[in-house]
This record gives sequence, C-alpha cells and structure tokens, in this order.
Amino acid sequence: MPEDRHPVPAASIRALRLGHGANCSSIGSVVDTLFVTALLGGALFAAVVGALGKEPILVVGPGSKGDDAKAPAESDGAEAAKEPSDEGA
Amino acid sequence: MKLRYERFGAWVKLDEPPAVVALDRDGVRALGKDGGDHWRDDAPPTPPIEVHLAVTQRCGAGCEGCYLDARPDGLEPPLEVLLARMDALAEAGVMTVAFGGGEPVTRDDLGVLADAARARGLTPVLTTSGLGLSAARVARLGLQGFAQVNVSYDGGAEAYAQVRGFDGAHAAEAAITLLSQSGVRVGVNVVLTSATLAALPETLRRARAIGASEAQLLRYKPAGRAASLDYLARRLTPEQVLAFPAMLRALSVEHAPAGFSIRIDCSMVPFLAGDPALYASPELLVRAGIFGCEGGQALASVKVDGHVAPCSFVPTTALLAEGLVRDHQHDPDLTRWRAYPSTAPEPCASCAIASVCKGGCKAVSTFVDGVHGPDPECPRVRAHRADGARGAPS
Repeated sequence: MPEDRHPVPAASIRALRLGHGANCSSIGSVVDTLFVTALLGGALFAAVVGALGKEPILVVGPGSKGDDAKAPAESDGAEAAKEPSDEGA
Repeated sequence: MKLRYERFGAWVKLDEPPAVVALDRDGVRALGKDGGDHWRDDAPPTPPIEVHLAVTQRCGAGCEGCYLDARPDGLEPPLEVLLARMDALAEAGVMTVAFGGGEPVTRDDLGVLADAARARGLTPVLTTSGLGLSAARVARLGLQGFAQVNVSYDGGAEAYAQVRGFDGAHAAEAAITLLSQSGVRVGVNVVLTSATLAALPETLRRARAIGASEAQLLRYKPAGRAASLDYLARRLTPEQVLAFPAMLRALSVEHAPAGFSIRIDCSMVPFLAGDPALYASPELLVRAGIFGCEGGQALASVKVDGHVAPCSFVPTTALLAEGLVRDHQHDPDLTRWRAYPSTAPEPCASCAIASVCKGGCKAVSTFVDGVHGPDPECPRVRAHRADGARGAPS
C-alpha cells in the first residue's frame, strides 16, 4: 500500500452494490443484502475493504486522465443546488 | 479498480468481489485521492455509471410484450459507430455497459464489442433471449469476454408463454446450461406478470439448477408492444404487490446461502414501501445499494440511433451519446428527471424511502396517469389515492 494510502474505514462505505448485473433494460439491485443479514455484515464488508486497500486505482470520468482529480469542466450551480450532496448514495 | 469522483465522495468499481461501492470523502482520502472541485457544492451533476447500449434493433423472437418493439428488419449500427459511442461512455466515466437489443447475439462482432469495452475500461455485460444459441456460436461470438450474460427466462413453458406469447422456455434453458458449461457467468431475467408471479419460486429453483447464478426480477412495463390496454391485465395486482416483499425475503433466504443472488429492477423498489420493516429502514436500503429510478442520474440508455434516454423504457432525449460528457448536465429532459426526486408531490414527498425509490417507475406513471409522477402501483400511492377518494385528510 502506498504511503499516502490507508485502510478505508468500513463506515466510509455508504452503499455497496454487489455483482455486475447484466440486464440491458433497467438497473438492478441485489436484495440479498436486505434479507440475509450476514451478507451486509462482517465477511463481505471485510472483503470489500480489503479489495479497496490493494487494487490499483484508475480514476475515470470527465476531466480525469487516470489519476488525479481535475476540476469539473463546467459548473451548473442552479441545478446542483436542487440535489443533496449525497444524491445517489 | 475504477474510481469516479462524485459530490458525496466517489463511486468505486471493484473487480473482486464484483461490486460498486459508494465511498464518502473520508474513504476516498484514505485511498490517497482527493476530489478537488468535484466535491464543490455546486459541482455539476455527473454522467451515469451504468449505460444500456442497444447494439441492434433486430430480433426475430416476436415477443408480445417487447418493450422495444424489436423486429427482424430493425436498425443495426455498424461496429465503428458503436465503438465511437463506447469512446464517449468511457470518457464520461461509465463503469458498466450492458449490451442489449433487439437480440444482440444476431451480431457476429459481439466478442469484438466486448473486447473493445474492456479496452476502454468498461465492464461489458449482455442480455439475450438465448434463442438459436449453440456451442459453436457461443465460442465464435466470444461470449466468455462478458462479465455476465443474462438470459431472458420467465419460467417453464406456461409462464414463458404467458409473458412472451410463445413457449421459448426450452431454448432459454438450453442457453443457460450451455453458457454455464462454457464458463460464462449466467443470470436470468424474469419478467413478472400477474399470471406468472406464483411460478417464481419454481422458476428460480430451475434456473439455479441448470447453472444460473443470479436472477433479475423485472416488472412488466408498458413500453413498446406492451404499451396497450393489455398491460392493465398483465401487471401485478395490488395484492401481489403487497405480498411481494415477503416473497422476496423467502426467496433470498432460500437461495443466497448457495450463492445465487436475487436482484430486483429499479421499478420494483416502490413495492418495498409495502413492507413495514423495510419502510422503517431507509438507511439499510441505501447501504445495501438499492437503486430506484435512476433515470438521468446513475442510469442511461443509448438507443440504436445513438440518442440517450433516461432509461430503456422511455422516449429518447435530443442528446447523442457522443455528447454525453459535454451536454449531460444541460439536457432539459435529463435535468427534469434528475430534479424529480426533490420536487415530487405527495405521497412521495413524505415517503421515508423516497431518496432511494425516487418516485418509482416513470414509464408506468406516464402510461397509466399521463404524467411524470408518483408510481400509481406503489402501495403508498394507492393508499394515498384511496384516502383522497374517501375524503380522508392526507
């Protein structure tokens, strides 16, 4: 683990969506995490935290070039104000 | 792993275990990353993380309820056009691209498309009817290149025919077996109607027995050839909707320990409002990664003509895939979809799980009520309307 990389606290995982999903028409959510409590507890989160700590990171998205954050290309404050900062997660 | 900054922190796509994780800003900083201006309160909305890419409109199956009205002579974009669209998706930071149609396996270059997706950092997945799929064709198409392939399988002969108008169950089962034996991770898409819901437990047992490792349960939706009065007879009844969470719980308890996952599609999330325990636990729904209507947000669809739609069941916007990065935040239709959760009327406005559900399926509300509004088949919406009809205070 690089010097500036530390273990991710489990509390920092706001949402965990399991699997790839392969439906081409609508977005799907695994519900086992709702009903089989062991899945949302210990082992799974430990595996995720472990993976977060060791897999190489590729930053993707607008303005990125695979590594450091870039400023958003353009701001739209009016629309942004409508959304809570945790929208989607 | 791939990381894309969001106002809340970042989405992270893991390969093993396969998962998408929403990390808060502290979690991102622990990875040695900082979102910079992406974390400003006025940062623009981000593009989708999952896109459904229609690679053909051709399909000879002729399913009665096809949401796309796919036909044997439908449009089919050339390879280079699809590659350009995937360039745009990659630039936008999309993480998963789900190839659909029409029937994608009618294309001979499907494996090329899967490889091209991976080369661009996109995780390719695929949906197929499985009709006409042989071992030779699986090998020739390179279906092993997909992270997962879902086969449309609504149940045994009777259930399958109830949904699609013909009995394709045997072909679907053969495809599931074949793909599984070929080393492909296989899921099944199960469309639920009032006539087929009772068969769901048996459908899932059968799918699991022949090699599927996941089932995605899909609400029957009034789009394409299914946008007719027949929809009103085929949709789940209010009683079935109310009983659905308990059924889901039982199925999950039965199958999850064996590693067989159950998914529900975004349009079924409002049905969870009928379960008192889930309704009282919105934080659990968030943490479990449950996605409701994500049109205009985490989800988008690119149709064969290249136009972007909030999802596969609704009309396209003026936005083309190639303009996703530049114009996603400005498109008026996508902006309207994004704004809906924060402007929704009652009973969504006071719903405990509204931040997850986001108002339910707009394809349904638009067809049934004629408005982009609360899902008329949500148990809370039904109760709210019944109270209003009786003159009860809301």
